[in-house]
Amino acid sequence: MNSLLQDFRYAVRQIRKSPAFMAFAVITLALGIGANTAILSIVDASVLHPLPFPHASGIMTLYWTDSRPGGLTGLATVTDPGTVEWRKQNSLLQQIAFYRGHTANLTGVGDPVRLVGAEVSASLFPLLETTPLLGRTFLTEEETLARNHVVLLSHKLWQSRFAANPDAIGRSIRLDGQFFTVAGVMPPSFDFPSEAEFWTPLAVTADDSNATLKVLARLKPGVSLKQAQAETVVIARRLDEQHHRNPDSHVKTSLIPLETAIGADSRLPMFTLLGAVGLLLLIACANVANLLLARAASRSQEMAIRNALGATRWRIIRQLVTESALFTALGASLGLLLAYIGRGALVSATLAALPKNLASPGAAARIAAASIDHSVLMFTLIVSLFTGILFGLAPVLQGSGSRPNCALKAGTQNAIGSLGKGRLREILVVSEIALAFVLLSGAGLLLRSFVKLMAIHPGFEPRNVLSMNLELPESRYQTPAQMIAFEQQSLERLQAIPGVISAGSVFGLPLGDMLIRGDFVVESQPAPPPDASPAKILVGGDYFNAIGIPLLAGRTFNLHDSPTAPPVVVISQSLARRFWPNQDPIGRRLKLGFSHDPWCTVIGVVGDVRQFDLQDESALALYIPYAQAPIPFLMQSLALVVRYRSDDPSATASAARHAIAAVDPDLPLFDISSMEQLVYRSLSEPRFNTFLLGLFAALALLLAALGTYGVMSCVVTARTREIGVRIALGASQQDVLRQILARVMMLAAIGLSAGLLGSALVSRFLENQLYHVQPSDIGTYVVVSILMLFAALLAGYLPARRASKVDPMVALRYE
Amino acid sequence: MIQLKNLERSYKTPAGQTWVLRRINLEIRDGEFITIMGPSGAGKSSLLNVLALLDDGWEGEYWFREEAIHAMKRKQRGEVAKRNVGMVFQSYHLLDDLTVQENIDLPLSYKDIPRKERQGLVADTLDRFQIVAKKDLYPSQLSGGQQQLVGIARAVIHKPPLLLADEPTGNLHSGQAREIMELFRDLNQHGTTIVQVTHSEVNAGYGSRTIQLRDGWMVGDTANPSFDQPTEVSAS
Repeated sequence: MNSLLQDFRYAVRQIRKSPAFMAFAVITLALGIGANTAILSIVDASVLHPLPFPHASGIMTLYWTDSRPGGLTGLATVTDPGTVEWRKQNSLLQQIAFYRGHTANLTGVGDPVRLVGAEVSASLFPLLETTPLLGRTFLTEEETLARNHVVLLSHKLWQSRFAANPDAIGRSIRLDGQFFTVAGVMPPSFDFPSEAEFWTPLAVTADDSNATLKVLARLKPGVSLKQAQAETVVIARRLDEQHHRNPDSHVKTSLIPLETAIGADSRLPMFTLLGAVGLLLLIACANVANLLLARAASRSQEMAIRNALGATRWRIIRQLVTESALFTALGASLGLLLAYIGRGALVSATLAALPKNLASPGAAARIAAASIDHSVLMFTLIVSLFTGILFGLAPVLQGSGSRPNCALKAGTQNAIGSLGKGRLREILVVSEIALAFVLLSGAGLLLRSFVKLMAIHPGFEPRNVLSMNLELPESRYQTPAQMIAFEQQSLERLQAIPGVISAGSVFGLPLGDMLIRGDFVVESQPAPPPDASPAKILVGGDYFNAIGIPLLAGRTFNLHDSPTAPPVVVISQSLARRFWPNQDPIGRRLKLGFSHDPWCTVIGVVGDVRQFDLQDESALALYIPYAQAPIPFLMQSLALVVRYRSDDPSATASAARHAIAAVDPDLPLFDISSMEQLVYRSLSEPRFNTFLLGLFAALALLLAALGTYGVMSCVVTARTREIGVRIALGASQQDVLRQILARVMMLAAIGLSAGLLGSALVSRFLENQLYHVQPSDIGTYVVVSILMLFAALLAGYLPARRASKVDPMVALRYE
Repeated sequence: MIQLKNLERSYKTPAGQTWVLRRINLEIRDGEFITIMGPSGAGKSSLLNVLALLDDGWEGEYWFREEAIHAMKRKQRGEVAKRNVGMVFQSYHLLDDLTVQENIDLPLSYKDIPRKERQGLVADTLDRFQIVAKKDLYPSQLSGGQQQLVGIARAVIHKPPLLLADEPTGNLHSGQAREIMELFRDLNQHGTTIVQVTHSEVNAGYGSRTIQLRDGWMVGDTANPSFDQPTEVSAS
């Protein structure tokens, strides 16, 4: 015990003796550990464990794939009557549940508010193995229109609107003007579907025109996924045949684990970041290894003296391990602190990038609560301890081949230019440069892609345009006429606000959350291929002027395009060019692809818009007048768009709020934002990925440069006498400078070559995160190579300059 | 060839100024073989470093073939040294990673000499020193005497008029030392001016003139028997 304490005391003294060395090693380790811990905690919450339910890996979902180019892929949906068939026809599923997203305006409890919720079958909660915090979940008999007026509240809603009062159970609340009895409150961790604030029972209707229900299932014990998948395919085909739908051989409905289905898009970017921090940790470890090897060289004589004085090998090892463990522990502690400090910013940035990135149930909540995970911490600690201890033992390992008397004598001998001993350190530097190159080229590709994304014109003029959303409750807006009246009155009032230039309405706001695409028919032309699925957008008022989409030919809609007038449509420029190349599309006819499907006449052509996101180049769009909406359901979700003159959007927003309240005081406006904000937000995911990868790449470059500097400093120190002799034999300062820098450049060149190979292997994983940039983009690699060579040159310059200043007499003084 | 007038060298130390060379007045003529002797710390190696133009920190006058070295900048002094001076070290200072051939080529590599010409010069030198058979060996594969032979070959390959040797036989046994000194005599007879530092009376016997140093002062010169031993004058 005493000798252990002595080892510890000696280790502390070593740290105090060389504070710069220790600070460098500790900070290097801290950066590696900190970045890994922070990112791993986010990845763990969002991707590795995306479902916060017991036995989550056994939850299956129906998944739909269209193997044709441009075909859609995602969670499959079934019609209301389809639920009955699926329940009846399956024989291998233990449980099956259905749900669909649903919104409702809550009134009578404070200000009107629009809530996001879901209609769910009673079987959903047992399937997810979730019980309510208060009250009960749904009964099977409540799955009818007559008995479905019960509601479950989310924990958050219960807290914010009901003051967390247990008496809320049994109370009546108004959703879209109808009364619902609160049956229960769900626990805070329950978040399915993502962001849901309330749940109502799914009352299955006979309407089989729209497939809107998603499906969850658990297999019977002993049933393999393969067996269940085979049965799923058979049932899907049988249902298509029963309902006289034309089953397409390219479309396949399958059963896959929900964990696989959700967040699939986010998995690759997240794993890319994970890979990036992994590389960063490797670089940090190589750097620490380098430092320790350099120290080993300078301590070989000390070890020899200890050995000569009777210290056993084990005793020396213990001493060195104590030292390594001490500074590794310091590095890990600082790393944890960095991870803790950086976590807040990282969580905010991740949440900002969330809507289209990590849409898994509860992801937002779990990311917000992401903590320093134990397994994450253990992993990084083990890696860093391993590095610290392994390379901390370097003096022993290096000295094992030589006898103590040799090491003792070496201190007085004239060893000149013994490069061999530094080879391992040079290999480590080459590895660092190669790894940093991989990271930098990845960040470079993302940055180039991001710059291209920022340069995209969205197709509309977002400046001074405000958008706001509302939902017309079915209970009070039952007919299209009621909805049209509301829309027209609202637009009139918005138009009357001082400073407002124009106002319009839209279902399918660009860069918004609502958009439908689908088939359509062009008169006298064959059926368009599946990649030609235009966005179908309902517009009203002076929408095109309000948002700033230019009219290129014909006219836009006016009040004469009423429900009783001949159906008309405005098309996008790309659609016009694709289907009527070199022809005038005005006056041509098409069908919109809805169940009620009259021929619509093209009356105008407008500019192309990046509809779904800025990368969306499909640009095919059909604009339908609000008053002629083919299905009333689409008219319920409206975005109002206002172009204003003033520089104060908040005043305009406030005036707009009052204007809508004057038409319907129970209708809450939500997601009020400027179109500029929407454009900015649409880039949040690439911005997040580019920023983080860029940050890690910059750290990697810094560490690699410091590593190069450290090694070249050691080389110069070890070769001081050789350099002195060279100068004595006629070498000029420039000769020495050139010699050292040539060595650095050689290491850098080998590192870059290895890095290039590594990048060629790794960059293809970035392919689907890149916009108009090839993973093999030569320009990026050239710029990154120049940057790295410059960094290496800079890192090598200081030691080289020191070498060139060596006093030749130093070489001779040891005579 | 060389004239030193009132040359002095000192170092600033925490304890004050330490003098290593005091008021050195020395003339070295072409073709001389000079031996510098004296006890340890007398300033022998310091004087040799000054002569080799490796040291810049001295004061006084240094003339090299009518050129005022004391008026030159460091770079110009380096050029003079590169053209005129060859150095032989006690510990040979061969570079371990270079072969015999490459070590000999080293001084030429710092001059603007075409590669072909350099190869010819190296081959001639290997031949002249009879070490052709060793040309691809590394220093660690040679005996001490052979290493010093290579060291001398390296020092004279660019035919410097002045060869400076600091204890050239210090690490050799007597047989090897004799061979090296014979080589020096031969070089001197072919026109090379040699200045050696040694403790050995035997080695000194190969030279034509001996200079004695003590505590930085020049206290004897066999070429000038009437040499006045200077004394430090105190200003009390």
